[in-house]
Amino acid sequence: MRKASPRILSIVGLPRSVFCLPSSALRPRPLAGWIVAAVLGCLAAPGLAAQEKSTRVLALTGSYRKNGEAVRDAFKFVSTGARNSVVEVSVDGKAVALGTVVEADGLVATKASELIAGKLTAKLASGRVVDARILATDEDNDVALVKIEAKGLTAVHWNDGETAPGEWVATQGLDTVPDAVGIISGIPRKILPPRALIGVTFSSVGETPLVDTLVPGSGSARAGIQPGDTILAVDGKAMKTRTELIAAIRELPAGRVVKLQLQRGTEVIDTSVTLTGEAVINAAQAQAAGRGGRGVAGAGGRGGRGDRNAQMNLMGSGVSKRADEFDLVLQHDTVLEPWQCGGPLLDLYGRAVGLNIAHAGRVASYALPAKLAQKIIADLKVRPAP
Amino acid sequence: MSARPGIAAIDNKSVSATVLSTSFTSMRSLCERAVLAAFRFFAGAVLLVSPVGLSAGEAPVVAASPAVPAIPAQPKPAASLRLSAVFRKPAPTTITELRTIETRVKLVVAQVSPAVVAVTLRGPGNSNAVISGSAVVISADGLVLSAAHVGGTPNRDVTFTFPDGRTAKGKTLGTDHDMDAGLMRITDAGPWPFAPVGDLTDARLGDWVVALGHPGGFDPQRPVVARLGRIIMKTAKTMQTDCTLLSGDSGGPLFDISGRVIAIHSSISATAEDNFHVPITTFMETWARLANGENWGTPVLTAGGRGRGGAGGGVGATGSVVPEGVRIDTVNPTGRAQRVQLQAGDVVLKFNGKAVTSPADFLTQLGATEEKLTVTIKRGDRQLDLDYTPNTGRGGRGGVVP
Repeated sequence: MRKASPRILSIVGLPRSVFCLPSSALRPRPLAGWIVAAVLGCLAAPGLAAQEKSTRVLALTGSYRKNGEAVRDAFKFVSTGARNSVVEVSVDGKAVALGTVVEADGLVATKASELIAGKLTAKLASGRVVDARILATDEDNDVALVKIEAKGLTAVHWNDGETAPGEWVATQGLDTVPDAVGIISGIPRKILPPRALIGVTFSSVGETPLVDTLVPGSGSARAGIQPGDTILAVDGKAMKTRTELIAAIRELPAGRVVKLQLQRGTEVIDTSVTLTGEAVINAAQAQAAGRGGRGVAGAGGRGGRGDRNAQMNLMGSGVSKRADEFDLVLQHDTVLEPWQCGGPLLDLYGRAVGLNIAHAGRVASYALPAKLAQKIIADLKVRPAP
Repeated sequence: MSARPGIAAIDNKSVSATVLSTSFTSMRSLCERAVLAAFRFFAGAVLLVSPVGLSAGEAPVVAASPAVPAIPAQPKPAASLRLSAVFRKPAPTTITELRTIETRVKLVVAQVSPAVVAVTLRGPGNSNAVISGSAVVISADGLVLSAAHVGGTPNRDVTFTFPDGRTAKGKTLGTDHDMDAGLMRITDAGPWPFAPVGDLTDARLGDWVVALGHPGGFDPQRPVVARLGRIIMKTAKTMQTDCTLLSGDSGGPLFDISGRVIAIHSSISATAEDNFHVPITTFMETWARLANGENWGTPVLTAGGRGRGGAGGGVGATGSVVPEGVRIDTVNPTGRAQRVQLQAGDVVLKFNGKAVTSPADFLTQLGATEEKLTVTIKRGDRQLDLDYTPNTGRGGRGGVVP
């Protein structure tokens, strides 16, 4: 359950006895547990001459990182009570999400989009595995209410209060310490739906919407758009400038089929294109990312995004399938895997300030704030079974 | 860490600019850069803004402002800000200690966030591309620290966006691409919110640090994004923390637990919690040049962690210690390890005839060597010598992430 212990990536940790500590690099304070690693070079201490071939560079051992065992161990008091309010939800024996116990006799809230078809089970902190079934689903915020065949659980204690940036948050799994810890990164906010794109970049010459390139993974190629085409109209409405066209497309959701009128040489061509969600394009590009090309401005026109940003965002940890469009979220910096969402996000008292709902990228995990989560759960409880 | 001229200068306003401009010898610089590059390479580091092709190496341009700004004085921490014992411990062990850390982190975020700006500027040649990064204001009259790869070159027009939505116009000043340090200034009249600069004489491995910035660009919905971490590795020339970073964070500040800027975000690695920062000391050492609007150095990295120049790639392998030497665990299809024809599972016994004991040592040497090299390996039952002659491409700087 616990995440693999963080690696010392660039440097290889070796037993302390292998190296002597350069006195200039560590203070005389007892720092039990610091481990030394070595790399050749000449940059550890400024006083060293360039000729010195092998100067040691120290690295913090994994255990003492923010998410190392030693630090997470300090949260064991947070986990003591709370772990009985968490289950691990599996489909056909494979863990897909964590779940938050909302009623002691087996009512659990979890992340709906992870519950793919198959045999649903839930594992308790005790290790026992029980059957589970979906009672109701809230599509808007991706929450499912699940009944598990267990009694005598502990309903999670919610903390409805406000959170402030910098507060510790712990993502609790079934273990005696949290799976991962982090801090609240900012003020609660709404997460908008992903931007929908035609999937072209425009030439920056002039103001006319002259297609420069097609964005891989988007609907533009399938629609038969070609570089050099000028987009004359969207859904019958004439588009004189790029800005006008971008504004028009921004209003539309992903999946919408849009009629385009193109000018190709002297020809005028009518076609239609399915607008593609930004995340879909990003994922496709990240997968295909071979050569670091230019960022993709797309129909959104915003620079600094595109393939490299997307690629980066996917680096380091999996991103949840559904990571957009939530009414309100707490953003925190905990690095989670998609299957670690659905459980409670705890404060230092072991109370849930939220329900983890997505790992949205390299720097962001989202949790539905406690108030919103409780409201959704209350609504789901009275919703008739499907 | 012994005192350095640059650091001393922060504490002492009267130190002259001559001291600040102390430059390292080219020999040492080259060596340091090689290792710096190696560090970043191992982590597969990539820079944090869009690859709009930096035009480094142009002749120095004198910045718009005629007066060369001085380094803002470093404020002495108030007695009330003395740190609790938990900040000296390898790890907190109680909830009380966690709460002590939390209180301090909240304070830092609240106090310094107003000075953390988003930076936008047009790509080279005023192209249509927009570069967006982060930066931190360090004086009321609008001196701004950022990364060299955000500003690109001196004397470019920049727009700063403060977390409250206010914007200000400015210019890039000096850019040090060797270290990825960039100075900018707000040209609109202040005063502006600013954060104090710290120094690194006290910074130690394990120190708790707060990374702030605008990942993904400015977003009025979530003005500044706060992340917590610890210093994992630090040298005079780079610093690694486990604060998470993303594109758009480049140039943003890393704060110590007293709320002072100690480094600037530079690049990331393949894992979320291994990222790189430019130590504040590099700014101090080259302050006069930065303030003068000079542009020098060559970016250590390019997009996607791929190296530049003929040799391309970098090392592209990971290894672990085994009794006979170093076992190669993974080989990346584009790195030097692949060109040397190393394969996963090979056990490296010798490098240029010398016994190999540490994966980091071996891989650094493999990446840094610019002459013909020989790697002696055991593959299955056979012992092989793999000979390789690097194609250094860019004269003199081949090797590690060339």
